[in-house]
Amino acid sequence: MKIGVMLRDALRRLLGRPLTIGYPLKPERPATPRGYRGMIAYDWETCIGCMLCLKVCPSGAVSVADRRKVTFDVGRCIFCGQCAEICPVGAVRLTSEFEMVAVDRSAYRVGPRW
Amino acid sequence: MELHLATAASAPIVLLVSLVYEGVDRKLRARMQGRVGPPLLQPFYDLVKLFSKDRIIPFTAAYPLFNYAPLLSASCALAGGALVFVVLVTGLQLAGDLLLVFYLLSSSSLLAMVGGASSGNPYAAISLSRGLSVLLSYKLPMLLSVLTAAIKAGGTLSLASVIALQAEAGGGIATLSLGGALALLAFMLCMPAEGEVPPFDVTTAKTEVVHGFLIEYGGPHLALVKIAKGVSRFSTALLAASLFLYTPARPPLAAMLCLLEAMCIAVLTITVPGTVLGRVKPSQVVRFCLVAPTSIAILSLAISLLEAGGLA
Amino acid sequence: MTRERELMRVPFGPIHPALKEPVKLTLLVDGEEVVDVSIELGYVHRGIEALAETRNIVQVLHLVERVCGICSHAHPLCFIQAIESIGGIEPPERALYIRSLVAELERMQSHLMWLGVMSYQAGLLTLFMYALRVREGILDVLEEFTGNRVIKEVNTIGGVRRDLDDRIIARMRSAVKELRRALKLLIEAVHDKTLESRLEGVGVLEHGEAVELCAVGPVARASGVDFDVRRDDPYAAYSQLRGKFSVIVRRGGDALSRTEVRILEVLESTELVEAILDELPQGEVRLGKPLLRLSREIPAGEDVSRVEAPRGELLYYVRTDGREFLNRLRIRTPTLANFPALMAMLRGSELADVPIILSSIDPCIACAERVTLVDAREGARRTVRLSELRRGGG
Ligand code: SF4
Ligand code: SF4
Repeated sequence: MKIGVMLRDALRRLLGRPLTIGYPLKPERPATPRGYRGMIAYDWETCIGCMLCLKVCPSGAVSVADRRKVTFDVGRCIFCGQCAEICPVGAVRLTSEFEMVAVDRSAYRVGPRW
Repeated sequence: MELHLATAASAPIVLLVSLVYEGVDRKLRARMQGRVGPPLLQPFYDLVKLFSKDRIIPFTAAYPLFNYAPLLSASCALAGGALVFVVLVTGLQLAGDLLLVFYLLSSSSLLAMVGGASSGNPYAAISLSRGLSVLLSYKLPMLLSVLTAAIKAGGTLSLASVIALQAEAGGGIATLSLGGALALLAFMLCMPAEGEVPPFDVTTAKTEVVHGFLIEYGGPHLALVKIAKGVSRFSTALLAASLFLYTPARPPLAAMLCLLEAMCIAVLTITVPGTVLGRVKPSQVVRFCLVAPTSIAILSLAISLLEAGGLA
Repeated sequence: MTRERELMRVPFGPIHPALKEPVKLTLLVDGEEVVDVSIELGYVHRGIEALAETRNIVQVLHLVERVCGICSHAHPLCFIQAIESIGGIEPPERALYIRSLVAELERMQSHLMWLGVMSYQAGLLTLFMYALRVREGILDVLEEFTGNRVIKEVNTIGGVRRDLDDRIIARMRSAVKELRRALKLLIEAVHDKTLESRLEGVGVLEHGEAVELCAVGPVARASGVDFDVRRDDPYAAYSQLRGKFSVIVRRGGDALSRTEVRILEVLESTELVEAILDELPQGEVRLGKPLLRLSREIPAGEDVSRVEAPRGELLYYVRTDGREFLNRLRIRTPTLANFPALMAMLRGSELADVPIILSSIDPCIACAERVTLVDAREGARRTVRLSELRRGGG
C-alpha cells in the first residue's frame, strides 16, 4: 500500500530537461534511422519500365507515365516500400525525409522530368 | 462604500494572480511529466480566445440559469478573493467576514455546477449530483478548520483579528500551536477537492463524465467558469495562507508574502497531487473527506478550545 | 417496465473522451449503477475484407498490416502464415526467429501503451506519460530495424524483409534492459493506492463466464483461463522457444488482474527477446525466389491461421484462387472476441468504472469493425445473440 509513487519520477523530471521538443524542428533535429521508409525518390533514367512496381503497389500510388516510365503519387503512397523492394534495377528508393507537408499537390508527384 | 471600492479595485489583482498561478500550475505539471509545456501566459491567451467566441446555448437548457450562472459564479469567486486581499492589505475589521468569504467561495462552486446542470445534459446532471456530495464533504472540515483559527483569535469571526493575532504573536497560527497546525493540515487535505484535481476531480473527470458540468459550456461562458474556478481555488489558498501562515511584516510586504505562500500552498496541494495521483471514485472522495480531514479538524478544534480555556 | 422509466439512459460515445475510437455504448443507469448496456459498432467500418478481395496477395499483405496500428505485426504474420501453409512454403529458421522477435517487441509496446491509456482513464496522466516514455525506447529500436515506428512491414512471403545486424542487436539488448529497469516503477505505480483502489474488484469476469463467452488473450488469462496460442499452438519460432517463457495467469478476473497479467507479460517478453537474440540462428532471412514468383505459385486453397496478438488470439481465414488473388479473407480480431465478455463486466458496475472496464479489455475498435453486436436481455438472462455475430461480416 503506497501512495504517490509517481512523485519520485515527477520530481526527477522537474529537475531534468524536458523530453519533448518543439516543432518546427530546429536545425539540429533528431536523426532519422538508416532504412527509414519515407519520401519516395525515383531515378527515372535508370527505370527500365518493367511495371513491377505498378503491380505490387497496394495503394495504387504508381501510374504509367510517357515512354514506359512511372509516376508516384506520394499523396496516395503508404510507404510500404514494396516498390523499392521489387524494382529490379533499384530505380525507386524510400528516403529518410519524413516532413512532407505541402500546399500544392504537384509536390507529391514524383515522376520523370524530361 | 470604501470597502466596495477597495474590493472592486482588488478584484483584478486577484484575477491576475490566480491566472499566473494557473500558468505556473500548467508549466510545473508539464515539466513533471517531462513535457515542455505551454507558455506561462497560456491561461491569458485561453481567456482572450474564449471571450472572443460566440455563446452557444443548448435548446434543452434552462436559459436564465444556464446563461447567468457563470457570471454570478465568477463574481462570487472574485468578490471572495478580493475581500481576503483587501483585509490583508488594509487590516480592515469586518465582523463575520470569514463566513462571508467562505460563503462566497462555496456559492461560486455551487453556481457553476448548477448552471452547468441546467443545460439538460445527462453528464452534467451526474456531475451535479456527484459535486453536491463532494462539496458538502470537503467544505465541512474546511469550515471547521477556519473556526479553529477564529477560536484562536478570541472567537471573533473576522479575518482581520486573526491576522492581528498572528502579527502580535510574530508568526502564523500553524507555526505557533498544535491545534493550528492540525487545522492547516485538515484544510490542505481538502484543497485537491477544492481545486478539482486528482484524486478528487470526480465532478469534472474527463473520461468519466466528459468534463461534467462544463460539458455544454463554451466560449465566454466557459471563460467565466474557468475564471470562477481559478480564482476560487487560489482564493482558498490565500485564505489558508492568511489564516494560518501570516508572516508579520509591513502591510504591503505582508500581503505580498501571503500571496507567495498561497502560491506555494496551491502548488503543494493542487499541482503536485493532481500530477502524481490517480482519480478515486465519488464515494471514496466523500468517505475520505468525512474521515481524514474531518477528524483532524475536529481534533484541532478540540485542542484549540482546550488551549483557549487554558489561557483564560 | 415501470422500473425502466426511472432509469437514465446515458450515451457513452460514439464520441467520448474515454474512447480513442468511436463505438457507441448505451448505458442504462440507475443512480451510479449500470443496469444494462448495449454496444453499437460500425462507426469506423473500413471494408478491409472486401477490399482484400480486389487485391493480389502481395498487396493484401500490406493492406492487413494496416488493420490495426498497434498490432501491425500480428496481422500480416497471421495472414502470411495462412498463405505459406497454402503454398507449402517454409521460411528459413532465422526468419521465424525474427518474426517472433518483432512480435514480442510489439507486445511490449502494445501493453505499455495500454497501461498508459489505463492510467489516463484513472486520471493519472503522469503515469500515462511515463508509460509512453518507456514505450518510446522500444519504438526506437523497432524504427531502427523495420524503418517505421508502428507500421513495421517486416513480413514477406517466405521470410522477412530485413535482417538484423550486430548494431541493431546491441541496441535491442540495451533497450530491453532499460525497459526492465523501468518496469519496476510501473509495477509499483499500479499498486499505488489511488490507482489500485480503482482497479481492484472492478469489472470482474468469472472463470466460467470467460470460458462461456469465449474471452481471449490477457482478459481470459486474468480470469484463470490458461491459454496462450504461443504455447498451445506454436507458430513462428515459439516451438523452439517453449521453455523460455511462461504464460501469466491470474484468478482475480478484475481490472487489477488484467493489469498485472499485461505488465508481467511485458516482463516475459523481455526475457523472450533476449532468448531470441541469444539463439538467433545464422542463415538467410527469406527464400531465394523472387516474391512475385512465390506469389504466383500459391495454389487455390484455404486455411485458418492464428497468432497471439498482444490483445489475444487473432484469427485469419484465407481462401486463395490460385491466380495471385484472394477469394475471401476473414479476420476475427481479439477485441471482437472480447466484446461479449465486456458486456458481462459492465453490467452491475458503477458508472465511474465504465471507462476503466472498457479500457481493461484493451479495445481496438477499428480492428473489430466488421459486425454488429446486439444484446438481447430479458429479465435476468444474459445472452449475446451469436447468430448476429455470424450473420454480420464483411
Ligand atoms: S511505397 Fe508502397 S505504396 Fe508507396 S509507391 Fe511504393 S509500393 Fe506504392
Ligand atoms: S519497378 Fe523499377 S524499373 Fe520497373 S517500372 Fe518500377 S521503377 Fe521502373
